[in-house]
Amino acid sequence: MEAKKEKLSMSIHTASSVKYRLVRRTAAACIMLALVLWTIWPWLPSQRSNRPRTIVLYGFSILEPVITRGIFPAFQKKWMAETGQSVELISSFGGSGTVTNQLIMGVPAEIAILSTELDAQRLKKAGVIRTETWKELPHKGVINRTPFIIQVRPGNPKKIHDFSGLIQPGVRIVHTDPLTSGAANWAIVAEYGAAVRQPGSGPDAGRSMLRGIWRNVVVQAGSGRAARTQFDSGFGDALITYEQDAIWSLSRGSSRLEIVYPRSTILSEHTVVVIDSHVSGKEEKLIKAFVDFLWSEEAQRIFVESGFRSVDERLNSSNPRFGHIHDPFFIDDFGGWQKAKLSIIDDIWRNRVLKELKP
Amino acid sequence: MNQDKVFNRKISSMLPAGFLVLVLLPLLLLPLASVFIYALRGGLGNFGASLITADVLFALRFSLIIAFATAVINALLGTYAAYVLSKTRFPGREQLGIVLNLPVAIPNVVVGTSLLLLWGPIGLFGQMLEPLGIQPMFTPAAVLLAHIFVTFPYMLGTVKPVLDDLETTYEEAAYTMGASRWQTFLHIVFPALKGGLLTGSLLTFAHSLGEFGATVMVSGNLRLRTQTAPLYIFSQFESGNIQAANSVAAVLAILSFILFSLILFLAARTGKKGAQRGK
Amino acid sequence: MSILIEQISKKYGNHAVVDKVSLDVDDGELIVLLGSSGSGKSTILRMVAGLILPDEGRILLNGLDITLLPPQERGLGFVFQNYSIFPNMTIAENIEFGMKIRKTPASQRQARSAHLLELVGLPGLGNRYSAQLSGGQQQRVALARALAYEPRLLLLDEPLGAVDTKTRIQLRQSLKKIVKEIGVTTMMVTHDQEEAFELADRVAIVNDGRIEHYGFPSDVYYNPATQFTADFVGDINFFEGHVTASTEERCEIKLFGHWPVYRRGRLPFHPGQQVIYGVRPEQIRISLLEPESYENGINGVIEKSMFFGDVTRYSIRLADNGLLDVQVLNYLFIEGMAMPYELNERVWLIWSQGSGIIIKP
Repeated sequence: MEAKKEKLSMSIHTASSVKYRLVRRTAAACIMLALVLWTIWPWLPSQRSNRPRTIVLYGFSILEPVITRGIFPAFQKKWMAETGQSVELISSFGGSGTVTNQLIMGVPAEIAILSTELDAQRLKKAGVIRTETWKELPHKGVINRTPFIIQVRPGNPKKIHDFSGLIQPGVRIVHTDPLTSGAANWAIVAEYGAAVRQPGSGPDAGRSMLRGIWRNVVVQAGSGRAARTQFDSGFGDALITYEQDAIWSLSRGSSRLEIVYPRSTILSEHTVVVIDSHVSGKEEKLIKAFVDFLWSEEAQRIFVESGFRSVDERLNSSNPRFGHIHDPFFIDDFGGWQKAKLSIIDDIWRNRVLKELKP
Repeated sequence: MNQDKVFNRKISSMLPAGFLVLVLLPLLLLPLASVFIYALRGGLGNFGASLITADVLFALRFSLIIAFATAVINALLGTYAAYVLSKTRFPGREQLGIVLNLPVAIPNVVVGTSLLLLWGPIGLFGQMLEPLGIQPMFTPAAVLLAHIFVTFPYMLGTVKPVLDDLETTYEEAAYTMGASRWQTFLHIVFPALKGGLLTGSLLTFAHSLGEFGATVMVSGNLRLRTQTAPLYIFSQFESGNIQAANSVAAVLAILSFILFSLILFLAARTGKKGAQRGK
Repeated sequence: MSILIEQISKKYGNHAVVDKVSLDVDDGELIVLLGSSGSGKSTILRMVAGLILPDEGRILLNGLDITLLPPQERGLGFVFQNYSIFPNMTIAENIEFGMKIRKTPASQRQARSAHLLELVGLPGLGNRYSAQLSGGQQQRVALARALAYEPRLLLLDEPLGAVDTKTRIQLRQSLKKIVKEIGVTTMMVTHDQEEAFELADRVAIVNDGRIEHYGFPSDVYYNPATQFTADFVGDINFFEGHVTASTEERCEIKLFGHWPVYRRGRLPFHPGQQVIYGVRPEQIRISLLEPESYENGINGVIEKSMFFGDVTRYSIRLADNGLLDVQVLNYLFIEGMAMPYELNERVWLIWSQGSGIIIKP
């Protein structure tokens, strides 16, 4: 009797569980199907009809927000108004050196915005572009500027007021890596230049400044943005970076870090390169329109709003966050990048300072 | 008192599991949890908003499609390779087996670089293709290629042991009954492989979904064109958008969890049938 | 002639696993390849099935050269030692597999598999899976599966090797019954002599890749062609000797150089020839009396006795220092038809001049 009962209840259980299983299986299959449908949605025939024209842009790291959220939407609107066509931006951002390496490897970029002219010259050397195309653009291809500054922890606990403050023992500096980052190259010239331009300083001042700073470098990040992320996450006492980068991060309210303006520092200049071999004939007009737009007052104002200093000095007063620099200088003061790279980066920094530091 | 004993027994039987959780907590569970904590730090609204951007939607879809395609292609390719390695004898068989497993040990970045050096515009094949206007690198095809390469061993690793264990007499029996090689594969070998195939495909899918090193090299990291979800996450981390990065990471984790559960659930039937037979 | 094997060989490296083997099997005949493991008997079977290609020689099936034909096109049934019942199919699906490949209509397939299951004594088990069956049942399924598409030849590779002794004896009988009922020509491989003798119409003794003897079981047992065969089937006492006389009626052989034994019949030996003389333990009786003139006899001392249930086996030390095994049915002691012998007892060992085996060394 007992056994019979058990058997009965078992069979009921089996019947209901079969039904239940069927329901569950159907539900599972439905979820799968929905997921698949969602995934392939944009590629379904009905969705593909009017694919917009595209611009493929590679830029160095700190440009990302201003290009994707400021400049490009403005251009999109303008282009739509003028031609009735929608245009889409395909973009990638990374350390300037990384981007340049990618370009040399052959990524299909139509426009590149690089941190230094140095990288533009590498492109020419590698044959990505045949002539120095950027020199034919307004301002020799320089799209905007930003001075190199020092960012410190709230309250400036290490009492850093100039580059010279960085050489004191115990200061931990977050720096970028000159191998992949344009910012690093700018920073080294800034550090060197600030020292040699100091009134009454000798010819060795630059070298000893670099030695003092690099003795304290604890992190070499791959790009300006990566260095910023490291510093923001609490690492180090000082970060040498673009003013724009500091302003941008302050404006997002995510940090209460302080900006220290050196008495003398370099204004980095960022170069636009059109990779003409990647621009097909029918896109030429679109690319030219976009490049021209970069120097329009509208675009330059957007740059200023997001912390870059415009090549048009008149616009720069509109951003109250820009600090005063007593003695700004430019790469041309050192004879341009080609010369500065050899004499400052390679000869002094790499061949002497780094070797002196490494036991 | 007896009840006390029972209780003690219960506790002690749960000890190993407790210990496991304790060990895994800092290793696995907490990092995973932190993804969700960071993703939701700005509130649900922010979480949602950071997900419905065109970039994220594209990256997720693109990742899923690539992962699916990789799993399908490697299921075919891997099974074929496993079959050849397991069921045929030829000189250099063992060495080939080792070579095919190498992608596991080689850093994915190296894989990406070598693909670039081979197929890129300055590479060996790339230069030959250039005049034809074919540029395989920095396209979705390049991503697929890299993923196939990187995940190849997973299929081989799950299917080959099953084939090695499958006695040849099953196939021979089918041959003597008149079944061709293909019919034998279809009716005899394939059913035996189902479990290994499923596991292998899942592993492949999961690895493809999370692949970064090779992808970053060969994709050109172009948003809306070749940017996979992990590349998007990395870019966002680089730009300091921790919350956006973690939001997508969270979605990826949930997606993987759902997919794994669903597939295992759908596969449960075959498993149960097999277990029943095993009695 | 159903199947004709001519001089087939198979080498792995330098070692010939099968060395110039020839065999013929008549229609409806059941032959057994008997040999120890590694003798090459399975390789011969697999070459007939097409699972291994011979390096040389020919295989003819009903006069057709099938040496190089793939196994799929030979239309043979093969039963493996491990049965290899496909675990993903039901028993019925297993049996119908060969017919399905041949595109036999489903209704016909089902009728055939039901019939075969009944024939092998497993009616109604078609819906089960192999894992739910015992070893013996799986063996029957394997047999039914191999017979399903009416093969021209049935090949059995140690078909009863993996079941326990009791089941094996049952299966042996039903196997022979089924095979004979269907009338299919059958080649079977085994290492079990009893099995071979029970099932075989003819037995081939395989040793080291060669056929030592191919003939009827009684021939193999009583008139083995080689010393190996004589030794391999049953027990035997061997002596070295030489022929001293050979007439139309009998042959005289001297053991140990001086002790004469005789073998009736006209034998192809000539005086002076060195030979091996063998006599099987069960052919010898023990006696306290001297042998008659028409018998063979030799005397010795009982050195050892072993009880085996149905028989007792004595080892007798001969005067010339050889050892000879004799087997006595215990039944004879019970009925008083023989006396139990004691250790160290001096006895005569007597056997008929009609038994005894003479082999060229």
